[in-house]
Amino acid sequence: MSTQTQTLTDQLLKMMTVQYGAPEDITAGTSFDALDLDSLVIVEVAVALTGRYGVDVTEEELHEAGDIAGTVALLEAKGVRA
Amino acid sequence: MAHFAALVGLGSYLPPRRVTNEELATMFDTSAEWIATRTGIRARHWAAPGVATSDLAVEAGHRALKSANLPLEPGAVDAVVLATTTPDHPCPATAPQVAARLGLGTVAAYDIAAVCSGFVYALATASAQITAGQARRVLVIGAETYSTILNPADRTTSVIFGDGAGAVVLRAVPDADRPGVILGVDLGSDGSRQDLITIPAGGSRERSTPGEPDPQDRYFTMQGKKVFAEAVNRMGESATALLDRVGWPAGSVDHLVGHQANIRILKALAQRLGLPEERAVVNVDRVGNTSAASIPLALSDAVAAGTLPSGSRVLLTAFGGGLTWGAAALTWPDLSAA
Repeated sequence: MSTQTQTLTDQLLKMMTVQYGAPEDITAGTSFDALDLDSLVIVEVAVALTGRYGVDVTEEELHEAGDIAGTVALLEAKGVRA
Repeated sequence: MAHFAALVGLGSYLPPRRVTNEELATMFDTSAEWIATRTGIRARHWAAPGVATSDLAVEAGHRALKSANLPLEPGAVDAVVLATTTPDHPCPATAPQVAARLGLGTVAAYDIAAVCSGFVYALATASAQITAGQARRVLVIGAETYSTILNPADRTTSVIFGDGAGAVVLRAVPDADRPGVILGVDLGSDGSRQDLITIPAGGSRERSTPGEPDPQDRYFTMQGKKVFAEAVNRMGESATALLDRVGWPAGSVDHLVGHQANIRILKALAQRLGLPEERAVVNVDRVGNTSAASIPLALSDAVAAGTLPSGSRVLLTAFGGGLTWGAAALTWPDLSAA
């Protein structure tokens, strides 16, 4: 894993646990569906990512990405650099 | 001589019937806690059968005029602008009736249809009438009776919306640095996404589909999750553009008075603008989403609570069906809400 990918992964792990109540022991491969978050959280995460990284991120894209590793790949594909 | 439009009066009115989440939990397949955690709403007010939008608008308008020390008589204001999604009738507009019932004479009176952004649109229009020299004083009202358009079979919208009205008076003043002056506005729309918030039937498009419309299409519909994201993104962009134009650093905003749709939208918006959450004025917990009435209702609540001191920097921002959005900036004046 590149340093850049690692940094984005760490940022997202921190965001999910500190801000959105995901369990501390989640990993980049933990499925969003397994987190037992309420239905608005993925929308909030999409909005937060849009604000933080300056690229459009939708709820549908996050569901498709499935987990943090997928989301990092999505952000990188949109040109985001940590 | 140049004129600027200053906010000099504020009033609001809620119909007496308060509907709690607990009461709604007996009507819909939901729980009080579910509503509270998803929306931040704990109660809203619903108008009694037979009470229409104009009835709430007249009360709020009366109170705003009182707050501005203006009499209920012809000449008190030069125009009445009413923002609403729920007019008394499809035709005519509701504002002329409100002006007449308030005893304001034969003034210009018209409705603004921008759904939940209606109040900011109305404020922008009224402010422009003053700066253009067309009016010296304008009564701006946001009034709604969403309880008349909610689908009793749709719990997702039925638990969110409330009825109410709020109003302000704008007055021409000679200098821009006076507290209350509307320093700038930003308005926008995206009609390509009109389907996100709509009442499908009841307009001229209804004739495009043969046969009688589905009775369900007479009700208000909203795609909540898509609206959530659009609301934060559009209000964030609009507010940022306005702050840049007015010359206020984002962090200098003392009070973010966003459309009261959902507390989680307000928090996400504060975060987007880089403001601490506590700078967001919140009364959605007590009144729900009152659409075009929400900003003046939130302002009235904050003034009544003593949390909106004169001289503080206030950023209004709204988002609604259309899609529409808007923002306005002002330094808060010294006034008491009625």
